[in-house]
Amino acid sequence: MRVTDSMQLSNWLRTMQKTSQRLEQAQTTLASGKGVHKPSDNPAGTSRAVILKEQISRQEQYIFGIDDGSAWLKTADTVLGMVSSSLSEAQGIALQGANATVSQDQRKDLAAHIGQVIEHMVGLANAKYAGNYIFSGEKINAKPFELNADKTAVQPYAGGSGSISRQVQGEDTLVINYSGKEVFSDNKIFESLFQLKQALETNNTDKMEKANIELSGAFNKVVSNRAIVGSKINRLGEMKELHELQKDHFESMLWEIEEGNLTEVITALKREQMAYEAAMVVGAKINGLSLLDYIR
Amino acid sequence: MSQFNGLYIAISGMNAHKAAMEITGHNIANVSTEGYTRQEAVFVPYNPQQSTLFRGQIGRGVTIEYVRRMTDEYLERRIQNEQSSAESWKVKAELLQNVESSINSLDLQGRFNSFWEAWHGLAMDSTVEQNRFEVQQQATSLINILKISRSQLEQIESQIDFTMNSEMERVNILAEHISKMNDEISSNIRKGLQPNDLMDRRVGYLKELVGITGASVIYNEDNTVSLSLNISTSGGPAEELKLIDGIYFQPMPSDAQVITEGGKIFGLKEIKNNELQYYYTTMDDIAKSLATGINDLHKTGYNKEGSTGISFFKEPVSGVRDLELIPEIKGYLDKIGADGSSPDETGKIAMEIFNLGDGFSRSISNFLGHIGTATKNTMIQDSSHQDMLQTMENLKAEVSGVSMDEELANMMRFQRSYQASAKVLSVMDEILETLINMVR
Repeated sequence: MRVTDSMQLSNWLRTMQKTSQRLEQAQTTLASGKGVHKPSDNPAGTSRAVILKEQISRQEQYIFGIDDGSAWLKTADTVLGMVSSSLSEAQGIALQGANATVSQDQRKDLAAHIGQVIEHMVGLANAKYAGNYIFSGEKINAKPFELNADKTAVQPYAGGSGSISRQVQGEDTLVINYSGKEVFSDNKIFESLFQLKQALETNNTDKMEKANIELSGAFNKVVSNRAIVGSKINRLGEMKELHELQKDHFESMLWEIEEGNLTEVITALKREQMAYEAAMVVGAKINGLSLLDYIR
Repeated sequence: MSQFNGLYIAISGMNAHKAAMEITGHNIANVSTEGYTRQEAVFVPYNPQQSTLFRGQIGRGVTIEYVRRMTDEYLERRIQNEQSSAESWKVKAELLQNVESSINSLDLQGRFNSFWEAWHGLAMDSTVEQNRFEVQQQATSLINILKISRSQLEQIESQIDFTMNSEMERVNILAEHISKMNDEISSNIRKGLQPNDLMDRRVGYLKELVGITGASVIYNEDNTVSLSLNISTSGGPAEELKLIDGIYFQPMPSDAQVITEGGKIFGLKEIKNNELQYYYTTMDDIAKSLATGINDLHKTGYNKEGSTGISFFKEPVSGVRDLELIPEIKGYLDKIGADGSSPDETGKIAMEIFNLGDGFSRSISNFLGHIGTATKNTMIQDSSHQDMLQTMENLKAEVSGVSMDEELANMMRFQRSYQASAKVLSVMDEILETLINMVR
């Protein structure tokens, strides 16, 4: 087989080109830390990566929603706890007041104390989370309860009747609020407190007892509401864990595709470097040989 | 027969070998010339004549009958065919890599993700203006990215059109050159000359022409070549154009389309008519689904003013180019309808829009996967055709290529032979001198 100079040269050039292409590929991969720069590097991987990125974003959104819902519910939990404490306190005062040994003056003090409890209760009913009223239904910017100027009554519930939900997974949602109407109005909390106050001011022990009974009923309701809130908080906690696990899973699959195996890449780089050097050394040696060196 | 026959014999030897050295020198000088076919002297003895010195015939020395061009026509044709495929795949690989890097750098899925996230934020609290603003901003961003992507494709399409036009011009120029060469070559050969270098150049032009058009070369009896193309003018039916017909050539009209199955033009057309169209359609479909999906939901949504039935994107949407927010939403954030009809449904519509995200990631994933696979395939084909071409060029070089060592060895041989003939000349001269001096 005849071998000509042009053949040798073009073969050598082509080999060098191919080797240096692979070398460049390995270098870029290592520098960027990513195994995939372009779809053609790994078409199937690129497809999967797109979907994984979307899934990860989705999981993050679920977690965000769940966190928000949890915070809302935890606020409600704390507030309802304070509500039931105040109700207990009021009940204690009612019992005290109903006692025959208590004087009128002492009853007047107790009435004033109830006055304070009422103001505190209004404050609790108007609780906020992240700037939004949590007991106002869907009207999160509307103050649900307002104490009127002479502090003799609370204005009717000004909030909405709607529920607020958070999406926990796919199409599953969880209601995260209680309407103030349900907690405070339906349980006649303010009414009972005002009645108790009046009863103390007028020494009406019958009325005090009636108020006490109402307050007791309200207390039980609030406690059971709180229990429901507690179980919702738990449920959200579980859902969050689930989503975090899924997110971790997707992230590691994405990492596999994009970052790949660093050791493999480094090995490939070394291998290509050697191949490139070899191509150059061999080519230089061969192309340097010529009959001219040997003709006298 | 002449007394000086011996002299002439020696001189013929010197001349022939001197010429052979010149031919060798020509080969060596052209070792770097692309497409150069080496030449070999063909030594042939002169016809013998009746000798006056003895009964019988005597030779009259040597001459170079002709200079052989060391070529293999069969290989030339195979190389032309391979060139046609190689050029086609090469241009396809280049174009698709172009498409791939423009689309890839835009991070379509990332934009979509931000868009869906904005809707989720709005679903969580539809009373806050910031959340509406975010939705409007992300929507605008998404529309821009989709439009930029499509216009990148359109730019590549105009690049293709531009390249096709310049290639057509080149075809006409090459055809003219080749037809002129046909004329020179055939008339030279008729005169008994060997236009080796002209033929090399013609091979080069033909290779380029076939690489562009994918057409077949016809070798005529009179040492000319012909080449025909199938063209259609102004969208009419296909007709044959005798681009090169021996010494004549017919340029392509400027509005003609070349109909071909190979060559660079084929590659350009395939990408323009198949790949690019598919990508346009895919993107337009995504835009349509986006607009329809969101509008259908948004129209059932209630906005801050309590009104409903408003679209989000302008209708109708036939593709990416039509994608626009309705002017009301561009100007007035409160028009964005995030809520359902009942008080229990605050943020419901926004959440349902967020839930649309899954489907779109599948479309984008398919889109990018397709681009990746198509690009990878053309790159593989390109590489293997380059290798194929290389192999054939090597085969050709085996026959036609210059080997420095071989030429130098020949040089030594011819030099020695020249020296030997020169010696013969000087001996013949002495013989004659002896003869002449005898008479004194």
